[in-house]
Amino acid sequence: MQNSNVSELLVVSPAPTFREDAKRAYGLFKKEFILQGSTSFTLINRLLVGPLISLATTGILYASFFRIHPSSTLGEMSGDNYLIFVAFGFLMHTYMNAGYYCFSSKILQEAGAGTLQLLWIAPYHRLVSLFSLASMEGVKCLVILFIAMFLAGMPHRPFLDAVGLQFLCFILFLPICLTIGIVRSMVMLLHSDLGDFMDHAYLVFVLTACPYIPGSLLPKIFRPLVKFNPAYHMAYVMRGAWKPNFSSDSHVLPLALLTILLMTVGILIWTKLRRAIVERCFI
Amino acid sequence: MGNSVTFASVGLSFLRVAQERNIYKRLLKRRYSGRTTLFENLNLHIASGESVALVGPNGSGKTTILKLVAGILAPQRGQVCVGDEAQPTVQREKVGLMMATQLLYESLTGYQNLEYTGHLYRCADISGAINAAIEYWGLKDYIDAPVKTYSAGMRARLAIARATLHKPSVILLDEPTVFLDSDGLERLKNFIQSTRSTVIVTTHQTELIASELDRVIPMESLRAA
Repeated sequence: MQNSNVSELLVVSPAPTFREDAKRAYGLFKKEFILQGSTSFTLINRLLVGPLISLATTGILYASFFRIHPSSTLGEMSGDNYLIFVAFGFLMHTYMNAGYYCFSSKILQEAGAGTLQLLWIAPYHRLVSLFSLASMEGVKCLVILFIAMFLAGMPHRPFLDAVGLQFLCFILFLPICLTIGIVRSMVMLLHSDLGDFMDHAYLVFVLTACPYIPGSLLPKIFRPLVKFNPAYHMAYVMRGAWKPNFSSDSHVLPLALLTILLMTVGILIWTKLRRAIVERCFI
Repeated sequence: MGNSVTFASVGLSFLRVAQERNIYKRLLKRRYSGRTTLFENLNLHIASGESVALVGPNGSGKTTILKLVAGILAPQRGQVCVGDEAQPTVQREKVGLMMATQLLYESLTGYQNLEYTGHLYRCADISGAINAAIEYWGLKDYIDAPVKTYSAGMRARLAIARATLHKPSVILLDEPTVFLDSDGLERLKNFIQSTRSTVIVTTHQTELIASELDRVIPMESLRAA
């Protein structure tokens, strides 16, 4: 066996350059891709076939309805725009689920496998490590965004404006995804009994976000909640970006305010429970 | 070069969760029955380049000490310093940690696990470092197989290779000898002897590696301090 020259290889690390940081990020994402999609078939299935089938299922239902009642409207939905409505709704729903289910279940999975400690001590900002866990879902959302834009055709405003609005929504909603993902992980780790209750509350959140039906079709009891749901505003802006004479202000502002509010709640919960979580996971 | 490791008046306790039979109380609030104190006033200095073993019975806090150095846990009182820096602000590249749970991704191959670490800890020449580690720890025949197919001994070798791949200045090894065969043990001894890093090992099998270590620290002596 080799008599090592380990000691000679010791180096003092200089401050990381952007390229080195990018290399690390690549390592994190590559690991996630290998873990979640070991073959190209799995990747294509997850990133493209799955979303297309989900989209087609809802699309076919509405297509049948509007074929039978061609001049009818369902709230803001009509025979001309139902596919766009559903596509952007599906995008918002996938993005929300990425935060709530995928992100948190990946955290729990890493905690269960004992590898969460590796992420915790990795020489990287912990938020970046956490975000990398949802990287596959992020790519999935981008794929759905392209599908939705393809279905929507050319927007009635400059293309870059419309796409810019989409990305603004993504960025504004990102802290909400992170918050609901971390809160669910913390609840599951500290009070797993409350997991079901939280899932039920999340269903109301999804319902009032109106991903697949217009808000005006909701039962009266739920309608006031719609205005307080950031996901509803996100989907509204994403759909509106393709419409003529659409003013985003009345929805972007509430989205930004609700993001700040939820992010503050998330930070407060994290600060309060951080120590308990670390003890629970790592002792 | 290694870095010294210093514990200054460290106190650590953690919450004990009580069993609560009342479902309503359980849903609303988890009841804690108090805190378990692990260390009251822990003072310990491990010099730069020194290799030490922490020995003691199960639950005596050996692994917790490694977690404190790695920055996984934070003490309620006192400071844990690596070189001149106090946790939690220690540069994380400085520390390499191998845990009994081994911190390996089961579905990834041995090579992919090492490659991931190489990226994470920004090794200058990742493939060179991995090849050297494969050669050093005798992993050649298994490196392209998923970790879930590894024997316990091979996992231990891979886990040590992973923890030391980026040449950290402080190496923390939690029970590294448990699953190693005589060849693996030889390689470990050789490593401890030749490295200039500071090495902290927890073990129940002190006699296996005592000759390569500078100091053996019984946990009772730390608790009494």
